[in-house]
Amino acid sequence: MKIIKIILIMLLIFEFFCHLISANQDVEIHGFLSQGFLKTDQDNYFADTESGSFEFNEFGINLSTQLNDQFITGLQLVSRSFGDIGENKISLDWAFADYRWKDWLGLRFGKIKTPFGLYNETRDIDMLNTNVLLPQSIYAESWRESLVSSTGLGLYGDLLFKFFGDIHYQALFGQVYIPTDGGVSKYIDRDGMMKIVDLEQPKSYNLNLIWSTPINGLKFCSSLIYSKHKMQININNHYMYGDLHLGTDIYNQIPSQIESILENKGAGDDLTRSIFSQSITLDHFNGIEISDIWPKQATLIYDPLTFVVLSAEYSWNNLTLAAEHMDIRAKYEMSLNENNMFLINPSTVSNLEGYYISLDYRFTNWLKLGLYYSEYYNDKNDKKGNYHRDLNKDAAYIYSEDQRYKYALSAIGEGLKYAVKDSFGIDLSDDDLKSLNLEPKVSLIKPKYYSHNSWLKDFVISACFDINENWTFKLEGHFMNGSHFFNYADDSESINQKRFMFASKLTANF
Amino acid sequence: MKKKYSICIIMIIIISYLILNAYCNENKKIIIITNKSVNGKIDQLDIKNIYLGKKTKWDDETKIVFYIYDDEKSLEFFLKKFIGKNVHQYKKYWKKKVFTGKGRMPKSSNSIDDIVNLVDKTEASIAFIPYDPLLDKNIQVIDLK
Repeated sequence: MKIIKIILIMLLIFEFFCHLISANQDVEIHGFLSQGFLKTDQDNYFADTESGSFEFNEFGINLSTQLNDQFITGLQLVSRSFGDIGENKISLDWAFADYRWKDWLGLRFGKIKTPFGLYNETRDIDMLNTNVLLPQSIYAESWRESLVSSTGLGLYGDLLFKFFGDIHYQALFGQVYIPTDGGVSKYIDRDGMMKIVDLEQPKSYNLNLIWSTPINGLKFCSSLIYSKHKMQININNHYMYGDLHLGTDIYNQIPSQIESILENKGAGDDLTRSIFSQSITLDHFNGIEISDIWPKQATLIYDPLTFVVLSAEYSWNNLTLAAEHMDIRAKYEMSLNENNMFLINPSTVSNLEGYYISLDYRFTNWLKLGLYYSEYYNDKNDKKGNYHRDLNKDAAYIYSEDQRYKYALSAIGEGLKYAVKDSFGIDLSDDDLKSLNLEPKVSLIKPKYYSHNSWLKDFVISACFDINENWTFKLEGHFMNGSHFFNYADDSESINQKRFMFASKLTANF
Repeated sequence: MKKKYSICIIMIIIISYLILNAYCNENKKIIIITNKSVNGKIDQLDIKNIYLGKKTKWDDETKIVFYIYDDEKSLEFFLKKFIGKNVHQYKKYWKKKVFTGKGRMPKSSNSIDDIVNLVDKTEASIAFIPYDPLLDKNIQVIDLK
């Protein structure tokens, strides 16, 4: 049904533009196709990069027309894949109408690319960037969906000054679409504790200012994004993957064990023992079932989530230097849905930080080389990663499933002693209960945590070959230190601190 | 001695290149032409803002139409003198606008006659060419202050 709707919409849009073409309206069509390859020497980066992955591409086509002197409209469809993010689903990248009343004031409405930093608007358009992967300290693939575009209204304009250069501004207010199975979801789930089940599509306020100074080639940029997010998650009570259904285990595993204990103590006959074992499991151990089933549903609220980026770029002849710094401030809380108990107190604040410096130089018409060094920290007040290092000692981490079952068994044993005394007048000893055993229903993966989970540093060398106006080929090497943004689900039990990643991409555009 | 001799040779080559480059640039010329409907003063900053899509209207609120003479050397010289970008940077600038929906590719031609005819026929238009057309058309040459 969804596919039919998409096809119908595409046909309507296509018919609209065909109508314009037949009415001699000037319609421009442009597009691009990019196919990349990623290979890491260890650890997987969004895709199965240890083996080498081609799950790294973007395809796009856009149409636009100028309806009159002040009014432009257009749309771009895009399909992308980065590991299991995107999966080449066709989506609307942007589609809006643009009314420019004055140089200093224009209005846009529809789905609009979010201006953020120097390169967010073009992050998916390979031929416009020197690098295969933009610095992840600012342009992380993990939260791309929350930053790439919003549907709503925008104001923009150019303030032109004689001696002060000019200022280009864009202000957007709209709704952001974040899929539950995309990069944001993978990012939140990377530690193994949480999984997004549902989220309300957040509203976002965005302001972007670019000051092109009177010094030729020098510009400064500042960007702000302010949004609130509310999501439903499944959460484990400590750091592991998998589900624990202790209640189900009780129903399946305990009755026959109780029957065996009663038989050894000579309590009742076969039928009485069987009925007693089933009924006591159902009647007396529900308390254990309720308190020990994980994961549980919880509500995670970011109120607000704020991104601030300050940027500078200087171009002189064939040389371009750029530097950007980002602060993310997240005020958040988490509570269990079953009893509203706070797992993370309201007013908890996290401060994340990222920055980079880059250089690129065009040597010839067909060759440009680039370098950048980027750093990202999950907590700007804990750059050594003590939080992640100390997780291994945390009670919630070392509290293994064995201990959980031990406590549950202890409670079952006490309950059983009481019930047997009451029904059969028989005292059960601790030795009698030794045969009680609970096996976990599913095996659990418990990642090991390291201080380097808190950061990602990346030194990158890129070579960009402009084969001609329409074709670009890139080769790139990443020397990475740190494992933030890596998903432990992709790398089982441990992630290494350092790795090398090779990236290449071939792009055609028209 | 040999080292000093080598350094001198290199210096001479570099200085000759710079002088030759300057001489070549001196001989390059760019003439700004507009349709005769365009009134008012135009300066270098206006031209920069027009060709970057930041200034979209003349003082009388008519929409500016600008054309690019897509000859490699002329374009390179024009961009360096007025815009402060090289050809790659300028094309990338407009491709960014096209692929984000925030602009359309400027009209261009690699024929001077085409450019002159376009400016002649299009009200409120502006273009650059490498020499004065010296033709009695609906065109005026802009004298930049």
